[in-house]
Amino acid sequence: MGILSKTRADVSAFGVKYKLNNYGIQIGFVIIFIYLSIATPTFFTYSNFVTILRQVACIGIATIAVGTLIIMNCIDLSIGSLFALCGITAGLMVSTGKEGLSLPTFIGIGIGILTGVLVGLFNGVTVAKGKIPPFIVTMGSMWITRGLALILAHGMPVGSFPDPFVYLGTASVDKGNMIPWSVVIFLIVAVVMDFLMKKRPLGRYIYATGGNEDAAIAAGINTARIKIKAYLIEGGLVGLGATLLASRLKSAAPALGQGYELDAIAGAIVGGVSFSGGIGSVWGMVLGAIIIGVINNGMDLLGVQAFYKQIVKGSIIILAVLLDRRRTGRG
Amino acid sequence: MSDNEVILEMKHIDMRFRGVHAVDDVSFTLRRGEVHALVGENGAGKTTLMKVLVGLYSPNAGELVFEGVPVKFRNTSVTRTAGICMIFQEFNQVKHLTVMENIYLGREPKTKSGSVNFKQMLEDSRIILKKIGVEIDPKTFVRDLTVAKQQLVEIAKAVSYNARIIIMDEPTSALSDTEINRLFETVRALRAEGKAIVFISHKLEEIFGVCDRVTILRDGRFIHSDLVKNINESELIHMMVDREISEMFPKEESKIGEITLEVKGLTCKGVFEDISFNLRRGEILGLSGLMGAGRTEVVEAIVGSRKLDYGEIFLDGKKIVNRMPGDAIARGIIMVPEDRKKHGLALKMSVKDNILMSALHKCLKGGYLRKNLEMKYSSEYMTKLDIKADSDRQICSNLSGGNQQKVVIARILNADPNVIILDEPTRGIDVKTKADIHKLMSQLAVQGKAVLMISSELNEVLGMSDRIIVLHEGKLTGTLNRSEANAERIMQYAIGKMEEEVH
Repeated sequence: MGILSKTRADVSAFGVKYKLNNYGIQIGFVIIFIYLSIATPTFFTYSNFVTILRQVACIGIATIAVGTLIIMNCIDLSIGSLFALCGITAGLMVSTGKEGLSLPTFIGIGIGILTGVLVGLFNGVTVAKGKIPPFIVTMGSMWITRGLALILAHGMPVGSFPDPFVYLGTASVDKGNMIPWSVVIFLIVAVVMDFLMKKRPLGRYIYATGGNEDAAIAAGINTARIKIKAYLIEGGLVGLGATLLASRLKSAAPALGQGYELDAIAGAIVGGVSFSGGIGSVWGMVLGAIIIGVINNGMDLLGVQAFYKQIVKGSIIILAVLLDRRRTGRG
Repeated sequence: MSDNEVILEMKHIDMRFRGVHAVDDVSFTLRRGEVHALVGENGAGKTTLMKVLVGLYSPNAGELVFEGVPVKFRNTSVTRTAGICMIFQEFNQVKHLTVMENIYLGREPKTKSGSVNFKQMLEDSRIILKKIGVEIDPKTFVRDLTVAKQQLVEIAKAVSYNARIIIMDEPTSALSDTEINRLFETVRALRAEGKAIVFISHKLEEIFGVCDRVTILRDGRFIHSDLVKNINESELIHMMVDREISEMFPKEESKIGEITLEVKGLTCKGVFEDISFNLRRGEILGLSGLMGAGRTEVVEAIVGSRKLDYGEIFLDGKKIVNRMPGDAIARGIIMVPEDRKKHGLALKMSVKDNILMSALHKCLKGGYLRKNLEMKYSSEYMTKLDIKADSDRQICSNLSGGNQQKVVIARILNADPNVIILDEPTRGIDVKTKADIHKLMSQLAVQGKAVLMISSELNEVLGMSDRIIVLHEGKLTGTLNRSEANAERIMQYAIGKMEEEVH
């Protein structure tokens, strides 16, 4: 075969194989959805959907954040720790407790986001200028941020939040408690990020950097700058998600968000982001985050034991990457 | 030597890649105890022919007879066990293992209990290295060896397989003069043992220095085969390059204007040295030289993807410094890279995304990218260059090589450059697309763009260029005007004969 074997045969867009490869995740989602609707009485109810979305909102924002990095062929493993750090910095600003500063809510939210941006700056500059693999950099910052969170909170959860701060994560737009604010914020983030990825040059350059960094540089793109910008945005989004979560939980513990980075990455991958970069969409990530949420919720409703849940989640991630491999032709 | 026993015959070998006739009815005979030079320009089919022999490619037609038996090799490990070894330009070595581990990789001698018998491995390696006259400690790591010594390890490996035929693909391209001499000694030692050696090269001094017989290929066809002593240098050059220049090169008259790009004393230590030339509007300047002469490196330095040690670049009389390709593009200097899959395209992205990548700002209006503008520019260049794709959203990896190259060129043109640098613009693409690209280059020159073209294909250089500069081992050895240029003269400069010697 020699060099000829490198090109794949074109697959007909109407073949079953093509559909299974390209829409496998969506088809799987529909099957799970229908199954849960029949198997449990409570799944297919509006209030359950609101519960799922409320749970998905914070992690969903992080999914979009890390998904953007994966498209760029980078990663952030510090998301979980960053949730703790941002939640704590935001919480300390507004808390009326002994450690708290009792500052207005908007300052708390601002500081939460700013904390994320600063860690993003560190990650981005180290990756882009230090030319260290993102996996290593963010594994380091994962420990650093967790440590900072523990120091700032003296190892104790931060609580005693004022009502306006708690309102954001718990209240709803309408009186019937049907459209939670957190879900609205999640949607706004999705719309803005979709616009950024599709309609702003930065988004296109993120795709190009992940698609083929050498070619992107040769095409005149300053990929170092693109990487730093992407990490700044990602950090800010994680900060926002963390602030929302602290608000919803009415507390921010230094142990907050453990394993969130993996949930966020899983959501992005399940949502069709290629782990080798260059491919993926924001709405795909939203769907991925919701799929993970539905599966979590469904297993709760079905009474699946926590131990088994982990096995199911792990299997789904591997399956999703397997599909991605078949779609893109390589890993 | 001429009456040595024939060990291998390749009869009427034919090899095609997607319309490109890489090897066209070539026969090749190899005898025991001879060093047989296989020569020709880049792309003449030398390496392809040898890859057919070792089973990397299966030929479309033809027959192999090895030691009197017709054979068909399916892969390299079969050929290796049969006694034919090829030493590639890129060695297949595990850098973090020792010399002896590399020699016996995959067939380590075992002890009775089944673990690796390092003692025996060491002894055997010593014997083999001594046999070919090489002084390397088998226990050193391959990563710590020079390229020359790594090559000798490859030869030792071939010998350890008891190879009767050893093929060396341009073995001297990365070696210094003393290293070359040492390699020649080893080659002579192998010949004395009755091994047959195929020596792929286009360096004349090596052919006359170490080889007994020479076979010349050109454009995938067999040209001539004879004993080296019956042939002289100028005959050999003539046979390597002589061809008719046809309509493949539709050169149009263009008005040559002022100097736009000028480089002075460009130096990048160990790569190229003191390169000065200029480029005028409406001119196609050919940059010729053998592989490894530093051509790509020079243009990389111009566009800013390689750091210069010394030297200045002027654009329209003003000194410029390009820190990265983006700077050069902003100044209207853009390059079509040599390796389109690595540097030219994001293969998994769409045709449209690739075409627009270098000038996305053109589609920006009121803060966001307009679909209609994107459509306009991508379809403009898809039509202009006749890019064959289902739509502008097709993924580039599904396109043919020629169409991929056209997408790269579309991206370059969409950036509205004034200086266009093309590095091997037609390598590995079909004849039709090649002619299209040549036509386009002519048109660009007529439009007043300055074109700098690197090409290893002499006909392309001769057919397209208004002026030709030639590099040899990082030095500029000659400048030729279109009227005075011919293949022989370029070749002489390319092999390092300076201007004075030629006249």
